[in-house]
Order: sequence, then structure tokens, then C-alpha cells
Amino acid sequence: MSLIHYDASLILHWGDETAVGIVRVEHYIVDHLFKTADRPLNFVRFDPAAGGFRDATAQETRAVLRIVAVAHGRTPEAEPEPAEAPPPVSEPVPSVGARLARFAEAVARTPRSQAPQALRAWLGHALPSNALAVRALRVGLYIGALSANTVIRGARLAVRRGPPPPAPEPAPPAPSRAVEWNHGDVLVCAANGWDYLDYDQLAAVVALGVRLVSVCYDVIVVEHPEVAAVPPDRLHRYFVEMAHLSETVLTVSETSREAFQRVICAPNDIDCRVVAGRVPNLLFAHAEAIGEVETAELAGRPFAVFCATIEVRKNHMLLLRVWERLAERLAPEDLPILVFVGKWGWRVDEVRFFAEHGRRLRGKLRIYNKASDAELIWLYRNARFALFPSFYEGLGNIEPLTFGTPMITSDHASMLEATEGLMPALDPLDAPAWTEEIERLIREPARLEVLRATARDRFANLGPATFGDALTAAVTGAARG
Amino acid sequence: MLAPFPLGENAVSGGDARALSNRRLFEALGWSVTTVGIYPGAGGAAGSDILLSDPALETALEADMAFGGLHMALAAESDPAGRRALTGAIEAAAPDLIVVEHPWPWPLLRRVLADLGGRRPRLIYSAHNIEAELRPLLYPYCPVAPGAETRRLAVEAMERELAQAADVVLAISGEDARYMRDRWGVEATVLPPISGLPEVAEPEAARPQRYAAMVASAFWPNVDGFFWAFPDGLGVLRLGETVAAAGSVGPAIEADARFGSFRALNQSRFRSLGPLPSADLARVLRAASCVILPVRVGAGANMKTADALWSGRPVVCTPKALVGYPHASPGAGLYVADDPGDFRRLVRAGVRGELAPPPPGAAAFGERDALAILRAALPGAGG
Repeated sequence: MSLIHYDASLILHWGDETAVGIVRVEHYIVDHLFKTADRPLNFVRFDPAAGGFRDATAQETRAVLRIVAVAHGRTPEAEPEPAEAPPPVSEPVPSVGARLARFAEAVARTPRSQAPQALRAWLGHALPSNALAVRALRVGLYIGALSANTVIRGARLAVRRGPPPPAPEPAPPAPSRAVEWNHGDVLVCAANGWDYLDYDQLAAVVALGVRLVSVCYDVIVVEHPEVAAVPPDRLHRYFVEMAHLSETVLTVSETSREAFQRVICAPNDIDCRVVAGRVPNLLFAHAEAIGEVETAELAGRPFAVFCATIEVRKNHMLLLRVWERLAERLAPEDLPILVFVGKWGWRVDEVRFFAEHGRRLRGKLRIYNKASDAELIWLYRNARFALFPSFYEGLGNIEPLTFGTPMITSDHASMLEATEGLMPALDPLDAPAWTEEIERLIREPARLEVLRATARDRFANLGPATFGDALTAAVTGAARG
Repeated sequence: MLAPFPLGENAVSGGDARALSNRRLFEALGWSVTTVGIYPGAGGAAGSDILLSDPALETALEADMAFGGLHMALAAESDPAGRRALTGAIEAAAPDLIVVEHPWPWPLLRRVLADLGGRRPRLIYSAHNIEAELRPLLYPYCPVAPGAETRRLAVEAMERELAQAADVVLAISGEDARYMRDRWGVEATVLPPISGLPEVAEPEAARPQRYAAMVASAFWPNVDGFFWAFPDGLGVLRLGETVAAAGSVGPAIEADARFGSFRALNQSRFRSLGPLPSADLARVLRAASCVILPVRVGAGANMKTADALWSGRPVVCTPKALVGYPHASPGAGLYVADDPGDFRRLVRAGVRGELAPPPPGAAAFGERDALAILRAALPGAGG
């Protein structure tokens, strides 16, 4: 039985920090694979000390499960793990959770090659038809070769709900081991692994008959190396190697698909299958479960929000200059607070300097580097409007729009694709145009309301999220044609 | 034999490869050959070589590289020490023939011969190019001082005078010979290049390794030819497939900014071997999956084409690489492309062993043919 190996290196790297961008998409991918994959899922992690990929340890696997569960608004199990094996089968009226745990333990003792048969047998005799349970079994299957405790915890994660868990137990890490690659296995790499991947190892794995499915978010750093955080030639090589080695490259937008073909495949004459899919807005999809947390200092005050890593490509400087200009034109009480949400990135010394010393922006600029998803949802819902002046995007963060909040975005193709052309889109270099448009939104509430209604009523982002289907096709091999 | 560079055992450029090849041919015809290199430098010269150590020459070479040969020729002519040295060399050797490689030694030689008086040895001009026609092709690659056309005409006057003064003119190609006949009224003998590489044992591996071999000097057009073929890096190749560059072109390519733009990718697929002894170069060529000649400037001795044809491996080249090789025609192991995309695809196919090599004996023009041409051109020659 072949496996799906998922490179969880980046998910584990970021851990429990609020996920944005690529990591958030990764959470979606892992969840999607749980739900739909036709074979067991095995997490792998790149480990230089191990000379490449290795199987994730039980502890790491638990961590991935917990992180993905939280990202989808599910609450991980609260109870500590049982110290002993679960009760015997003869125990009267066991709960679904207990039965799952028992099964998971059994799976853990089953050789990986026999796990699918065990699953089918157990599904047929012991388990009610229950989507959650089935997913739990998938969890159990992919960690079937790990410890029983891991399986039990994985199973419970899927069926239990409760308060947040205590801090992770300081259990000694399970020993890691090399990945058993087999012909027909699938390796999914969605983490932009240019910082760590060993291409020779990857090529050797592919040569064994493992089918590589990779995800490309954008090739901006190749087209615009001046915005790269690391040497751009390294990033370029990553894309070329992935194009050579991947059976399918999935992109998160049509704009990215076209760019990948044009910038990577065509110049290098690589005949690579590149498929575009639309990733659903996870934050909106799970907003109810995540809830929202008010940012007290903004409550009741007008503000505009821009959520993105603070790096040169995102063009924060434009908004700072626009806000300076607006501060000259508008009464202080009319000028909304400019809210940046995102971690500090690279080549933004000027932004830092401006934030610290911009006299006209005193009291009118907030920077939140560690907002939680719940806080972000509150910010999106309560902002007067949102902004996204990025120079280049592969997908473009239009989360505010899904919450019905109007946006002004740059006129890059991917932003037009993402916003469906419904929102004002301006040249990211044209500060006067941004100033004028923002001033109009501030001075003309009716105009803002029209945009709000458009966002609420006409924006179709909740339409088909084709990325999942494309992923499934790629993983099952259906895309091979 | 006079040459504007040192003539060692191993060639470092096409020019000295041609000169070395000619020396071997003359020796095969029974002559004893003494070489005198005339070139810029300081310190002790090797053998009978003449070093030009004029600081003004150094300055001119830096500021006006496209006309480096002309500056060297004029500096040598006006250098009393150079005149004395060449006079002494000629008196000591008492040659029957004087072979001039390139036109640059001519002004000095002309003056020395005039000073010596008496019966002049037979004079052979071995032309590697039509130098005056080549100059404008070099302008994009190197510094050119103002007034280039005046100097270009001076170059043409120099080579025309030498060609007309010579008893025998050896042209490197039919194209050059036609030019000399039409423009200068000189009937030149076409002596196509032949490889000077020694026979070596066949590679141990039954199957060629997965690399495309490239042999060239750091001459700017050679570097440019590589980037004409691979402007976006070597991504057309997979991991494990490489271009191996022998000669000084390798370090020059690696130092080029165009290489740096794709450095990570290129370093994984490019090997710079540097200048190699002939035997090693022969082994590199024989073990290659294919040999590539991304030649974009149709000038020079094109000795790399001779070496490629000698290799017996599939050769991927541009039409310009075949100038001077009337016996080499596309097909039968010779793959020609004049478009960079087509060229890259051929290189990839070659590296993957998808191109058929030439049939045995396909590189038909060899030393025996060259000797026959020289014998006919030089009545009385032995060998």
C-alpha cells in the first residue's frame, strides 16, 4: 500500500504561532488530505542531521495534528493521555472515542502494509458511519507505525471537543527514522522549501518512483528579485528543480500558474504539469469556530486595516506616506487609525523609522505583530475598510473582503483575480491616487456603503474552492491523464 | 615562425592552437621550426620571444582592447630592443621560410628585413581572420577608443600589405580566401583547421557521462556564446546533467554577471575545468555525451570546431561554428541550430544520449589532407 508523505517541516517550524499565508494554506492542505486521501498519510520532516527527510516523530505528528485542528477552529483534546492501554473490548458500552482509541492502538500494532485491510475490517464491524470517525481512522492509519499513544491521541483529536489543552507534555521525543520510500508513494511539498531541501535527495526519491506533488504560491522573487529576502538565485533554483522533479505543480491562482509557466517552465523548456486552484478562505470558513477577540484600543474608533508581513514587497511605505498626506488634509477625528497586522519582515528599515519618528502619524498608526486569528477576525469585521497595496502577489490576501469589508488593492493581476474586480484597484506606485481614493471613502460614507454592499452581496469567494479538487487529482494520479 | 603570443606545448586559445598545429605540419614536412613570440610582458622572455614592456602600450591595450593587435604591432616596430632581438633571431636561424601568424608581427618583420637587406627568405602569411572585418564584431565586448574606423583601416592596410608581400598566404576558410582575392587581389590557399589533440584510450565507462563538453578560451565572443545559448541559466538540464567547460572560458563564464543571476542553478550544472593539457582535454571530449559550440561570431581560427569533430561525439553547434569546415555538414553526428531555444534542446538531447554520434571516420579532414595542401602550396617541401 503506497503512502502519501507530507513535508510538515514548515508547519512544525512555525508551531502554534498564528498562521498566515503559506502556512495557512498548508493547514488547509493537510486537512483536505485527511478528508479525501485514498491512502494513509505520513508526515515527514527535513532534518539536516538525518541527511534529509525523516519520518516525523510521534511528538511532531501530534503537534501537526494539534496545529491543524486549531487552525480549523477545532479544539484539541484537553485530557492528558492515558498512561495505560485503553479498556478491553469487552467493557460494556464503550464510547465512540474509546472505541476509536482501541482501534487506533490496534492499528499501531499492525504492520503498515496491512493497515488498510485492518481499517476496512474495522470499519465494517465496529464503527458507526461517522465522518469524524473515518477521518480519525485516517489519522490513525498514517501514524500506524508510530506509538500507540500517538494513535490514540490522533483519534481523540478528531472526536473530542473541549477547552484548550495544557502545555505540551515534556515527553522524551521518540527516535526519528529514515523515510521508507516506495514506488507509487506520493510526496507533497507545499512549504517553499528553498531554505532546506536537498535536491539530490529529492531527485533520488523521485527516481525510486515516488510521485512529487509540489505547491507554488508565486514566482515573484524570480520576476522581481529585488524583493527577495534571500539570494534570489537560490529561490530560482528551487522553482526549476521542483518543475523538473514534480509530477504536478499546483498553484494558488491562475496568475501564479501563468507566471510559473512563463518564468520557470518556458525559459528552461520544462514540460511540467501546472494546475491552478482556488484556495478557500480558511479564516472565514472557520470564523464561527474561532470566534473573535476585540482589540480594546480600537473599539469604537475608526480604523483601516492592512494585514501582511511587513516586507518591502507589500508596500507599507505607500500607506504611511498617504496617511501623512491625509493627516494634513483631514481633521484628526476624521482620519482613521492605520492598522498594520503582520510580523516584521525584510528591507523595511524605512517603515520602522517612519513608524517610530513620523510626527504626523502619532496616534494614527498601530502595528500588531502577534494578532491571533480571533483578533484578526475582529479587526476585519470592524475596520472601516481594508487596504492591500502590495506590488506583486501570487494569491493576495482578500480575507477582509470575505468578511464583507471593502478593500482598496493594488492593480496587480492576482489581486484583480482574487477580488473579482469588484473593489477599487490602483497602481501601487501612484500615491496621489491612493490618497484621493482613501479620502473619498472617508468623506463619502455613501460610497463606502456601496462598496460594503458589493463585498457582502456580490463577492463570490465562497464559490468553488478548486484547489482541493486539484490536489486530490494530483495526489491520486488522476491528473496524469 | 612569428606569433603574437607565446607558443607553449598546450594551446590556451584558438589562435595559438592554430599556430601550434601549423608548426607541427611544417615539422612533418621536414623543416626545423624556431618560434619567436612577440607580445606584451615584463621580466625574462622564454626562448627567443620578444617582450614589449612599453607602459604606453599597456595603457593603449586597456583603453582600446579591440585594437590590441594593432597597438602591439606598432609598439614592436618602434621598439629598438625588439628590432635587435628579431634581427638576432633571424641571423641565428637563417631561415628558409618565415611564417607569420596573424598580421601583427609584420611591421616589425618588414623593418628588420629591410635593415638586413640581401635575399629575403620565403614569406608565409598564416591568416587566422580577416582582421579588419573582425574588429567591429568585437566592439560590443570590449573598450574601444574614439577613431576606431581609422585604426580599422590601418589594420586592413597592414594585413593587405602582408598578404601581397607574402609568397604564400594560408587562409583559414574559403570565405576568407574569397575576400583576399576579391579585395586584395591575393590568391590564398585554404588550409582548414585540424585538431592537434593526441589519441587517447577510450573512456572506461561504456556509456558516455552525462555532460556536454565545451572547449574555448576566455575570448569575449566565446563567453557571449554561452550566454546566448543559456541566457536564463542551465535549467534546461536536470540534476546530474552538466556542461563541462575546458579552457579559460570556464572561469570567465563563472565570473560573468549573467552567470551570477542564476548562480545557484548554474553551479549545480556547470563545471569549469580550466585550461587542460592536450591529453586531458582529449579525454574530456571523448568521454562527453556531446560537444557544444555556441559560436556566434564567425571569425577566428575556430580550432574548437576541429577538436569537436575530432572527438567522435555528437556535436551541437551554430552555423558560424562551421565556417571554414566545408567537409563538415549537418547530419551524421553534427547538429546545427541558429536559435538559442533549438540549441538548448539539442544540448539537452545530447546530454541525455539521444543524439547519434558521427559514424567512424566522419571527421575526414585530418593531418594527411593538411599536409597535402601545404606540399602543393610550397613546392619543394618534403615530408
